Amino acid sequence: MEDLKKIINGCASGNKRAQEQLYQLFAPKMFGVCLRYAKDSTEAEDNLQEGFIKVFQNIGRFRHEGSLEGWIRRIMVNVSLEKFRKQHVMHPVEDVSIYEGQNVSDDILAGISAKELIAVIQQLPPRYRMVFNLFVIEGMNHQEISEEMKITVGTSKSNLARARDILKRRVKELYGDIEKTSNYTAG
Amino acid sequence: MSKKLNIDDSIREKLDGFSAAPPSHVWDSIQSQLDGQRKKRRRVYAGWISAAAVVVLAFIAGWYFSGKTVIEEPTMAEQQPAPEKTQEPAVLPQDKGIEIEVDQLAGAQDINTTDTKTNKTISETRMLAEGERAVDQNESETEQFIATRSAESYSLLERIEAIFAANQSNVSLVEKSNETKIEERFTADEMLIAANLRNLNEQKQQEHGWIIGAQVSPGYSSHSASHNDSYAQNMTYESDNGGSNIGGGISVQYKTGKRLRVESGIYYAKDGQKADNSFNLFASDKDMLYGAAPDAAYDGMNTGFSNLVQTGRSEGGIAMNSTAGVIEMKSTPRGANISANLENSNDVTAQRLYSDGEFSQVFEFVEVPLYLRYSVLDKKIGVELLGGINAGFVIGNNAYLDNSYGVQNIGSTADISTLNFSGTLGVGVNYALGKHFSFALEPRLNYYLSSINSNPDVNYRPYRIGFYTGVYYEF
Repeated sequence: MEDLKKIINGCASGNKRAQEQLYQLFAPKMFGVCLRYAKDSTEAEDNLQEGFIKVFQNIGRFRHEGSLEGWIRRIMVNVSLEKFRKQHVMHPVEDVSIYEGQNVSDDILAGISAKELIAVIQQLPPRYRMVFNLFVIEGMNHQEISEEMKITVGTSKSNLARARDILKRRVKELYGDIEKTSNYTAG
Repeated sequence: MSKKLNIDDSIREKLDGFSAAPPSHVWDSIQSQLDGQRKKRRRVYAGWISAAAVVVLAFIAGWYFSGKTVIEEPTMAEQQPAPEKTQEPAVLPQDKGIEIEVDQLAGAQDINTTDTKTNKTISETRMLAEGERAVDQNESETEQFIATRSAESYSLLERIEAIFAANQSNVSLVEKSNETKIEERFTADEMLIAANLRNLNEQKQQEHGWIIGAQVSPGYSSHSASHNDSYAQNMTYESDNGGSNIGGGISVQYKTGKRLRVESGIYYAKDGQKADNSFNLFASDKDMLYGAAPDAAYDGMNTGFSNLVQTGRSEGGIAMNSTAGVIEMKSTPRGANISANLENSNDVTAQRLYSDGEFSQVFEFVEVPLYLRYSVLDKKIGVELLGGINAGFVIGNNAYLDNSYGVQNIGSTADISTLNFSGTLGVGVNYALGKHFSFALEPRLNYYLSSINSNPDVNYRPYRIGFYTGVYYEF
């Protein structure tokens, strides 16, 4: 913990070694965060890079009483959201009503790796991906998401539902061989 | 419903701790970007230093040239008559008296002190601006952080942090402790948001901004003048000969939009008429003897002035009507003779001043402009139109006689107003030498809007065409 404080102070004064240490310490986890919000790993790398630049630029303002990981993670999420806002302001949302009504059991989820799950999340339409991440992983409520993304609460709710549906369908499609059921139709 | 939540939970469990090693090139780019920012910061300082250098150079150039033009006067006088020896007496270089140099030095010193003062003020302003900038710089490092974020983002930030803080400490969400944390973060976020807003404003203002410049201007100056009859009758011959000279100064522009700028600054111009406003009367010192000795050959080689002057005035000295106004001499210049009017012995008040050489009236101005600039073409090579008015303060008012004794300061011109207004029109062509610097050539016409001489008998308006050459630094 003392070491971390040292690293933070080193970063604040622009020490290259400290910066590298901090990066090594948090980059893998933050890359995981960025991957969830990005459409592919290239975008995630970009966001990670941008996020860390911001971390190094602003670390002088970090207050030691808070969680550093939480602080860095917040920056990563913000960078990802910012990019989403820039790229998908008017992004049309595909009609996914056809995906509704799929059932996926916990077993299937248990059977797939986080990496595989992230690959599926990345394929979600951008807005669904954002809403899904914010709600399920960051634990925001719909009111907060609607404010954050400038959408209505209703849209947030339906986006989440559809994200879930698509996710389930995809998971089932890709990894659900064991559970192939007769009631699945592609529409 | 509970099943859904379970799914959410299991997804969260799976993903929350997920980490993946980013490719090594990410760190490399972060490093090079951080290095780039360090360099950029250095470049910003370098920018300020160069801007300061521009100002300093401008003043050095100003001194150098303002000193030089005065010193050059004899040389010019020497060069001009050379091909037409019939009109002008040869001026021997060794004749150039020391007193001129003293005059010139004194003149230069005047400018000198003015310049230093200006310089100081400017450098102070600059330092202030730099201070502010340093602060801004600091802020701008924070800025893009959560850019375009507004108040509604608190909730996200608070919430996310709350969750992770709670996760980390493995403490169940005790509402009370959580609340305090949220409050603390709220202030931190507020600061960030404030920085963002500032940054946004700053970005908006990028169309606005400051430009400073320094120019040196070789120019040609002349005048338009008219006099009432009684003044003209007793006046030295009026010539329309202009003179070449050098001015210069520094300018500050404020961009008010994409194309429009407002400019002010401070310029030195000798656009006062260093005009050789007197004319040879084909009179020689032998004229004095002419009546008495009609046989004396007219000596066209040794021409000189024979001007009506007024002596015996209550103020003392000798007054002579000239183009820009009455020249008041303290005493008879060296190489000149003064005598009663030989043609009319009854006229005791009219007297004549005989001298070879040339009289000149020189005015030095410090001009404070208020110009509008309109950018017609804003590319690598840009074209601008500029126009506006100047407040011209007369800081130098001298009359010279350039004869075989050298250039003598013989006095000054009476009734010259200290503050005069002139109009300026110009076209600027500039060439960008990088992101901040540009080189510019701007022909400008500067025309005094009213007579700078308050004597009702004299209407004297100098004008000047200057080729303003200089550099601009845009922040």
